[in-house]
Amino acid sequence: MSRLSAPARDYLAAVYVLGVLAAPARRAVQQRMQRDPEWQALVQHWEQYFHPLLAGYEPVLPAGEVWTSLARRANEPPPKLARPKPDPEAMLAPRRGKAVAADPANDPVAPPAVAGRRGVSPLWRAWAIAASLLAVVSTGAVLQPQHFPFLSRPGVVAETPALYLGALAVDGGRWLVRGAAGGESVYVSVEERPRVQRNRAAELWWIGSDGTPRSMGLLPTEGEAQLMLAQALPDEAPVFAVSMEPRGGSPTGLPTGPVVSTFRAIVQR
Amino acid sequence: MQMPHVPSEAEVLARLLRATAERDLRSFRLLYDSTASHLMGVLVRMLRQRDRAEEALQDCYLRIWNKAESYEPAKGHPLAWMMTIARHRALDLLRAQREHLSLDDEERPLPVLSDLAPSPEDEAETGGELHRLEDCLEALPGEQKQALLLAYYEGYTHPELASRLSSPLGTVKSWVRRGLLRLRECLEA
Repeated sequence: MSRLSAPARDYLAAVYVLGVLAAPARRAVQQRMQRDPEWQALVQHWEQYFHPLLAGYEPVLPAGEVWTSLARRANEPPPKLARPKPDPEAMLAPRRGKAVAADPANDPVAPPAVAGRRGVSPLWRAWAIAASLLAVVSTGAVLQPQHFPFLSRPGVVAETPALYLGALAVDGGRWLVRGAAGGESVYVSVEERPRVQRNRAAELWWIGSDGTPRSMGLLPTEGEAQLMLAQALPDEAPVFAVSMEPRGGSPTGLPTGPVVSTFRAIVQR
Repeated sequence: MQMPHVPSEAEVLARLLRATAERDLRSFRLLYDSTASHLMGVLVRMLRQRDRAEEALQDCYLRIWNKAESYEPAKGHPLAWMMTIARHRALDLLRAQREHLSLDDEERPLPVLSDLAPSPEDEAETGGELHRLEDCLEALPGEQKQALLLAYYEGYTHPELASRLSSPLGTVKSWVRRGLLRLRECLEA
């Protein structure tokens, strides 16, 4: 710990978090944090005092290109990423293997140019574009568990049911879906403004290995909703799909309108 | 039959961060989709320019992509952890430029604390922290409270605060200092 008295350290941590420090003092605190876990704890303490104020920042949607560019940069090999400054936080954290991403032939997130040459639809793009059900099924191979290292992590016992996550993009926005294997309800939140024609309703379905769509209910067009399911989610990752139905939902219990978005659930344990 | 537990927003984000740490780009994408507008909100407010904010947003998510494993639940709600990364990125960028204060700053209203009503889910997760902080801030003398909130939301330095509040630097510094000390006392009471 530095020569500063305890109250002086505490004050410095507080004004660092508040943000009023000029550049040199700010850097000095950051350097101390890198060297000294006690400084990290002190700053963390103040951060948490102020966390509730974060709700005062109004959300702003970034442009769609931000992700495209980010995905490209995330895929870039070193120099930038392999040259981390000494970082006590990172050193304290357990090291994790990155073998999957390191092998380009096995890389589910290959940059578009490379993937294009191989004629394989890269995963990140499959995500970005609302694929047709057929497209999802045909690229199903790249979604196999070997690409999800956290599924095969040794020593992990599936005590809690798997969590299924999905993002169903349509023109104008998307629905984020989360629910548990065996669960009888799912939570849906709406991002942006998915476009749904007047007199139509967007209906959510899950499709299991037998290929039969099961209705999960009508999707909200804003905010969040909990959908109660007539049939619990299966033990194997389903495909989620959205179809456009008459107001009130499909009259037949099966999709009658066009399927506008599908997504093979991401499985998390 | 046991009802399966549907995880809260915070648990979902924590799981997505774990998967991101293991280089799963799909999970990272879902994490981005679920949180980007909140980080962008911080950056737009503090940096003032959309293009700079979007550039900084990329920097933040690259950092998250590379450092997701350093998140742990003891650090608070995952979204708060991520928004804090954005806030400090904005502060670093602001400090790298000369002048941040501008004339139209007068017209930028601060968030009204009582409007920050959390959803019932958030409320359960944060255990009423917002109300405690709100009460403690409201208990401060007006100028101390205003100095703290302006600093927090706008990212002003001491001299910028003094200029914005048309008060001597020494006075403003002491508002900040006393405000912080009283806030701490109140929060720990």
